[in-house]
Amino acid sequence: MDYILILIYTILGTVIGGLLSMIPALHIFNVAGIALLAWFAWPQLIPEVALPAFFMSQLVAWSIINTIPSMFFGAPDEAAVFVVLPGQKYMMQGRGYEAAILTGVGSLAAIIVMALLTPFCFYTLPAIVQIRSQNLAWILLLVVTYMIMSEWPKGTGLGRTRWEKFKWAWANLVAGIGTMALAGFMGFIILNRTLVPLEMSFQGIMPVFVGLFAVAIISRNLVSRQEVPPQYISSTIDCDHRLLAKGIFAGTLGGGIAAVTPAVTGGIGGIIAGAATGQRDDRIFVVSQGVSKVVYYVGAFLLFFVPTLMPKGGGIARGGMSIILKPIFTPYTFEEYFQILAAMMISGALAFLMMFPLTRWTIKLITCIDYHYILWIALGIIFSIVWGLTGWMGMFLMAVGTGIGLIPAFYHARLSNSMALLLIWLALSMAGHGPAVLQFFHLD
Amino acid sequence: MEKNRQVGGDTEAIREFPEETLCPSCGKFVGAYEKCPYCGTELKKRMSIIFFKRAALVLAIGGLALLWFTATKIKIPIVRIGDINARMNNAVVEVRGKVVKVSMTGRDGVSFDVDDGSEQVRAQAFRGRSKMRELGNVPQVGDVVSVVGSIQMTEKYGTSLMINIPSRVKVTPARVERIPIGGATLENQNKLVEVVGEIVSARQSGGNIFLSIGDTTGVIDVPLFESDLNRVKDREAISTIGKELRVVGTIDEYRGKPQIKIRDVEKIEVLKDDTIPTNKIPGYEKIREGAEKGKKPGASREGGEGESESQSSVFF
Repeated sequence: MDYILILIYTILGTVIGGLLSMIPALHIFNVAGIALLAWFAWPQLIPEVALPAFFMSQLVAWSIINTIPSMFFGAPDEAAVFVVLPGQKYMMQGRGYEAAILTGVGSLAAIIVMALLTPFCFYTLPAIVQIRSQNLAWILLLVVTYMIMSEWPKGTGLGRTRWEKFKWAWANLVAGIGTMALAGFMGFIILNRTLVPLEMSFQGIMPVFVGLFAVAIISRNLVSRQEVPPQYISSTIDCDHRLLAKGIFAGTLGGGIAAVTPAVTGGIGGIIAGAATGQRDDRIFVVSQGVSKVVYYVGAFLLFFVPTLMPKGGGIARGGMSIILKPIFTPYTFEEYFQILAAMMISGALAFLMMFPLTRWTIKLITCIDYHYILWIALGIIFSIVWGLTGWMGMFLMAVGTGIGLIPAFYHARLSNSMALLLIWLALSMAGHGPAVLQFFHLD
Repeated sequence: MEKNRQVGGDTEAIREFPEETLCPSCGKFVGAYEKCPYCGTELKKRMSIIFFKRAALVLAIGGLALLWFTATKIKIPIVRIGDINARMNNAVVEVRGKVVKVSMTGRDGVSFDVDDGSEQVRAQAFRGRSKMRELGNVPQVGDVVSVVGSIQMTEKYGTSLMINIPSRVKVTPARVERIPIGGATLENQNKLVEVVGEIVSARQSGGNIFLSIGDTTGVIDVPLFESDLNRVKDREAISTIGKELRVVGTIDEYRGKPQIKIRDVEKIEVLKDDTIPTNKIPGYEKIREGAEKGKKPGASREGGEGESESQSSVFF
């Protein structure tokens, strides 16, 4: 009976997650937070045995299907930021449908890869996690250093005077590093003070992330006058097995790094993997981003269920979904791992199949309705959620986050630099310098 | 939308772009740039984009400054431990209560259980024990503390308070009452006391040392466990029969008899003067006879798991 319940709630979670994924800029962690609040109030809604499968299936569906609004409405989350650029390029060529399905193929491949990596998770990953735990400060500092250094080189400046050339050459570099600095400082504040209502602390940094990514990008797209050309519904994708394999490898590497390392998200993992694998082809890039997003979000949650990762048994809580669920649920057994793996695979397959009609429906929608209206509606939904959950303080945090997120959007810098919000504080704290930094800023 | 022609080459290419996204000089697509990257022409931008760019900077920097100011002024909420629930996960809060248990963890960690009358919570710092020692705020059992940390809730390990900043622990030392050894009875269990007594027996079992100290009013056991002994200043002196010690600890119970559970082994003081007349210590002769024979007298105790008589040795 338990397995039937798990199956029912897996399908239900996939459908609900898939439909909610179509709302631009609505993050699954916001949905999970609201679902959890609903479960506290009405526990009979979801049986406890089916709770992990329900949330996993929502997560899988979102990470696969959210590509559609990210691409067509220009409202990606941090992990999808890099798929938007080539995706929008495809869209301007009338190949948006193909781009969405290409990403979906990558996502499906990610589900298969994660299932196949199960022996690796059980036997090799525990050692990697141990090494990572002991050297986390250095790893994070390296990631931050790489993100800063990869801002160079930029193009030479254009302009008549030296000052103009200098300004032109350094503008987006300064914007990128400035974004890191401002986001990092904001991280010092929000991770050491509870500014939202105490009873909503479990969603305490949600308003900031919403501002940094969702609202910032929607605002930029609202200002944009870009019009979407007619889209062609193709029956094949422009990709062969070699390109697919390269994309899967790069995406698994990037998503895997992000899944295992705290504060490193899918977008940052994608930057590192992209540099490591020397991607040049847009198709490889689009596939790899589809893989990376799923491996990051779903893989991080899957690590929670691997019973061998900790020396005394149990998994690691990585990613937002684990952190949201760990106060109420802890998996212990191999049986629970294989149950959740099954839920992941079923949900992945369903979500991939849902992509086809949903993409076609979205294309029809944007040809009938100006997508700016949809963005305004999405903005309204986001504002309601943030205000409803965290009140005026949450709105203020969102506004400040939006300001920071708009800097890379308008000054042509990398939006992933906003992840310094978590990265810098975590790196300094792990290195033992957290107290000194807080004392310096009078936050102790 | 106007159709803009780009004349050149063998054919004319017709492009449909909004006029404001084209360079007025060379006609190339420049998007949101303020200066054409191809010919360097200054471009007149739509007001809204420039406005949003400036607004973004003002919002980011100004908002952050205001946020920082608010954060420095905002008081960290004080919560009752019994009121902590899953929705408060990751909240930075202050709890106040009495320390009921202290453990040193890892290389530089410390954890202690705080009871505020509603419930108990474990406060832990994975690093910072040495810093807390410097600041003098390593709490001991019985102390009243105020601890600021972030709530960490897991179904597996329950609720704990993660201390990131050692200076955020404020300790009010418990009041210590100086009493004669005869006053350390089970009626006063858990009371923090200071006693002065002469070592009448010292027995080693495994890595532990079990002392019995006495004054003219009575004799009491003082166990010293292996985990604490490496912090003792003068290990030989504290296990020498006849030496007088000043110890601070809580009155505990073991097998129906009172004993002193040392609060901080580093603070055991070996007294220079011999103030206690040895022959006036109640039951002294019996204890000494038992010690010489290697038996366990009634007033002394066995301790530690796995101990057997054959493992004990007696110091003289």
